[in-house]
Amino acid sequence: MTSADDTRSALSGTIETLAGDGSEPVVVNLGPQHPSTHGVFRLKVTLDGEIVQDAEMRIGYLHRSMEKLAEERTYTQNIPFTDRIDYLAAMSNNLAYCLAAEELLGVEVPPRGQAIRVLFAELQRVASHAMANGTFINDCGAWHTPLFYMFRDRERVLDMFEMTCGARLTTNYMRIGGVAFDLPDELLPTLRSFLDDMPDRIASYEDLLMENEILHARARGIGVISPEMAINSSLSGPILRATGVPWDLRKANPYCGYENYEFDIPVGEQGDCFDRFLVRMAEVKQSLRILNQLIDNIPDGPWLADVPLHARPPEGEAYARVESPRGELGFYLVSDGSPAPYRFHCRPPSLINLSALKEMSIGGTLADAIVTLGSIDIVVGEIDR
Amino acid sequence: MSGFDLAVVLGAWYDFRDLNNLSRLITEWIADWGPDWLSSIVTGLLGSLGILAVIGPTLLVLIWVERKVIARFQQRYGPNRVGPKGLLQPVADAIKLILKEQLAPRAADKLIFFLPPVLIFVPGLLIWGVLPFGPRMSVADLNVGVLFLLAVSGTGVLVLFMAGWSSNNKYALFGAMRAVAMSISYEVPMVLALLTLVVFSGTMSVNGIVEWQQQEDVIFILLFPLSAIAFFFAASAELNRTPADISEAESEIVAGYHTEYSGMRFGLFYAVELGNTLVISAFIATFFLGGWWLWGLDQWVPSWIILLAKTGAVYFLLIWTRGTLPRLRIDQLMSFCWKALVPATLIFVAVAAVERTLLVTQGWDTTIALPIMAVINIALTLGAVMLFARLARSERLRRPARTTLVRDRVGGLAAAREVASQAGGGD
Amino acid sequence: MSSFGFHLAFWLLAAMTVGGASMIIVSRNLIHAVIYLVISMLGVAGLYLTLSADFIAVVQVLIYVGAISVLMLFAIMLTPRAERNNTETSLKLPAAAVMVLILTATVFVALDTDWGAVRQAALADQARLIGQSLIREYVLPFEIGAVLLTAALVGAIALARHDDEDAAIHAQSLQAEADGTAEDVALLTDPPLVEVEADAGAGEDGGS
Repeated sequence: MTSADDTRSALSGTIETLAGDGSEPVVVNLGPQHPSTHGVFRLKVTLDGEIVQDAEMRIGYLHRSMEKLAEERTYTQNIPFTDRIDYLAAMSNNLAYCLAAEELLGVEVPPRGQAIRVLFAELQRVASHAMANGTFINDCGAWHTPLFYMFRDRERVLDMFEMTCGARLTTNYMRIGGVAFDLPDELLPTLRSFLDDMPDRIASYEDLLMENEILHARARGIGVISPEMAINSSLSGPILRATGVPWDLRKANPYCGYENYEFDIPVGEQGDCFDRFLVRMAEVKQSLRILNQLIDNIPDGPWLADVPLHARPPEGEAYARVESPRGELGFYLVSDGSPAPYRFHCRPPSLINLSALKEMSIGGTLADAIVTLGSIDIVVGEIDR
Repeated sequence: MSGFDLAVVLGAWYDFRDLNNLSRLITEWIADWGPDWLSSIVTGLLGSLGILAVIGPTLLVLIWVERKVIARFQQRYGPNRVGPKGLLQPVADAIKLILKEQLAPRAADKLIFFLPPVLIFVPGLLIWGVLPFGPRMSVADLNVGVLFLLAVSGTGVLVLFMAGWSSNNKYALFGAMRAVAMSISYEVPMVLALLTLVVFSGTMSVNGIVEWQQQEDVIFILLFPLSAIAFFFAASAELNRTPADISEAESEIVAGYHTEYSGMRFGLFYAVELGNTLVISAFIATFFLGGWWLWGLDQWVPSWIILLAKTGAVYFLLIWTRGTLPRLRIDQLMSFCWKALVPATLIFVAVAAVERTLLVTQGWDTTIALPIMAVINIALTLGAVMLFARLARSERLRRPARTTLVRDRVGGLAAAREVASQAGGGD
Repeated sequence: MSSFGFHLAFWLLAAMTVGGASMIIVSRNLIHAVIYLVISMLGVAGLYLTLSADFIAVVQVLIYVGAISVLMLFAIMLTPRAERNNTETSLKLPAAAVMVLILTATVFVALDTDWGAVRQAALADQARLIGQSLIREYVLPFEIGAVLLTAALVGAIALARHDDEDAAIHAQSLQAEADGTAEDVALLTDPPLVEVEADAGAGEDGGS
């Protein structure tokens, strides 16, 4: 018996006495259709008044059987699936899958392809974090205003996606061995003006939000998770970094030449919802820093290695992981020598980050649980696949 | 005064500065031939029709105004497709809502479920009765008008409770409980804030309060700023607007007490909510900004236009807070009410009583005494606000939230501890 | 006061009051009963208005409709596992007896009172008069009422307070929060199941 166990038994005793007082706990279903579940996710909470006593997560409403479908298609045909796994960070998903396939095939990506991949992965991070922070403040009860502010920036990123590959959300841009198309001429000037504007924008968001008393009251000390617990639950991404653990795959396990760029890992102190928000804001700044280093140093040359469309990798398995906006995104591929993967598995950061929601929300109020869910930044497409 | 003699047209039916003239002439004409009960009924009907005629179109325009203003806050255009500048958008919405199917949950308490969308109109419309649009322009100038306002607005809670309870839906029940708890709590600072005005002006008539402000050439927001702030916040809580819209918090309990209402029934709740916002803005303008009076301008411009302009200003402020602020949690709202607003307004009731007694017993010249009191009260308000900010913020100021940038260290717990110790040492 | 309008208002309001009151008795659902009670109260307020007692009427609405009925609804909602139906109880006969007694007393008082004062002119500025008599002549009952209310308030706070153990945990978590030791807060709300070895979760070398 540790002191922690003592606390737990004392706490459960309290809950029993509360129940013994004659209050009836209420079970409330949040979702699958609910404004704050970010898709079709169902959270079953047991409430004593407004206090969450138990939370049960039900997933699977958006299951599209992607992993099984992928076993019937060639490696290249599977790339569009990855767009739809995490539809808010399609570029990162493309990238992770292509890295796994390249490892299986033993393909070397040309330097220009590497640079373009980094460029779009970081732009995707800016867009995804804009969305995450906007919806987070929305869940805190702001009437869509921050969301629309954040959407302005996301919109410009999506415009750049569109001018490069024709699609905004489901980009299908990365290919095994590089990227599908070269950068269009107008991209770099657009990117440059974007990079020029963003510091002012971020400063104005910080003016608006960092000192907002209501936001502090709603998000600080809410949904706290300790670094030990975060590591035990295998959390990754901004949630893990908000607890103070400096863990970023771009530094821990560099891919696509991230070791050549200078950037920092922002970490929080408390591991609460507000720290997650702060870490995301700081990460946007770091992404812009990488883009600034990149924009003048994109090497010339081919952007796509010569890989046959019906590539048959040798028998074997490969796992590649990237730091997606939501955390460690991994793809595990097993090849039996045929043009289609024998096994296609995705390690979705949203699903694993979500598993800590119960720990974070019990003991808080219903409103806190919603804020915590918003701060985790889930994408249901990625959870259910 | 300049050459234009106001008395020349005052009292004629076409003098639109005071619409009461028209109604008075009609009543007198009826009194000539009809029984006297008819004339009182006709006066009442005229007033009610006048109010309805103002509210109906105003609500339609207000929906458009609110959406347009919020859209501008959010860097978008807002409705701009139906009609010129999107002005007909509310009409289109209403038609859509009327055509929608009216659903009722099978387990709902049918009688109580059907009543609230209608009943919710009653307090919302009754409040207009005591609002003075001009020196003699109010449907019922009760000598307990302030109490009437509080009493009638308090009954709205019952209707919300009926709606939430009868829906047999947990979100609705949560919304209803929150609405009732909030409304009961925030009625206290609201009453206390108005009590300062009543004590100081010595009248409970709404028009009397305006006339006092006119007579003393001062508006109450200068004399009792804290009461104005408390009333504004309490009103926004009663109106379910951010930062206090917890009873229909979209991100938590979907739509609160009216979750189960579809079609035009929802539309009615929505309309009443806007109407209440408008009338409370009008009362804030009346109590704290001088109502229909504006330092003599009311002699030249019709008084009701002045009131509407002030109302618009307050309404814009309400939209502004809605478009800007996140929502507080219910326990935070409750503790703000009971631990901050109630003591502060209570203190100001005492301050008002002391100042009133001094004015009456010492016979001071109000032109000198009132500005001095205003300065004292503004200073007291600033002190109270700063004290509260200090108490509320002290913990946060001690530990500002921030991120630490880590360049070379990657790892698990050990790295986290190292980073934390370095960050702590660097402070 | 015109007699026709006055009589119309009186009979409508009387019907509303008595009808609402009867429906309370008939209603099988407690929540419905409270709603009928509200209707009855509103009728009484209207009757006060016909007597030119503005202040009393408004106070009747403010207190009985706005507060007491809400209190009753809360009591019904928050009483756990209580019967929400107007079921048969053994107290039916005693209740009827008490009601008959009260009704008799009311009728007796009503018949015995000299109602001539009502026909006099309505009291002007009642609020002021009521306030003055409360502060001057009836100041002692007024003060006793205030003390009683304060006692009730203190009692409610005492009832709503948590017991000591709960309060201790609450204080501890508050303290942890104030100290900024976030891990302690997490420990209180949910302690980690496993004591973590340093860096077991994420390797220093970064894997693969």
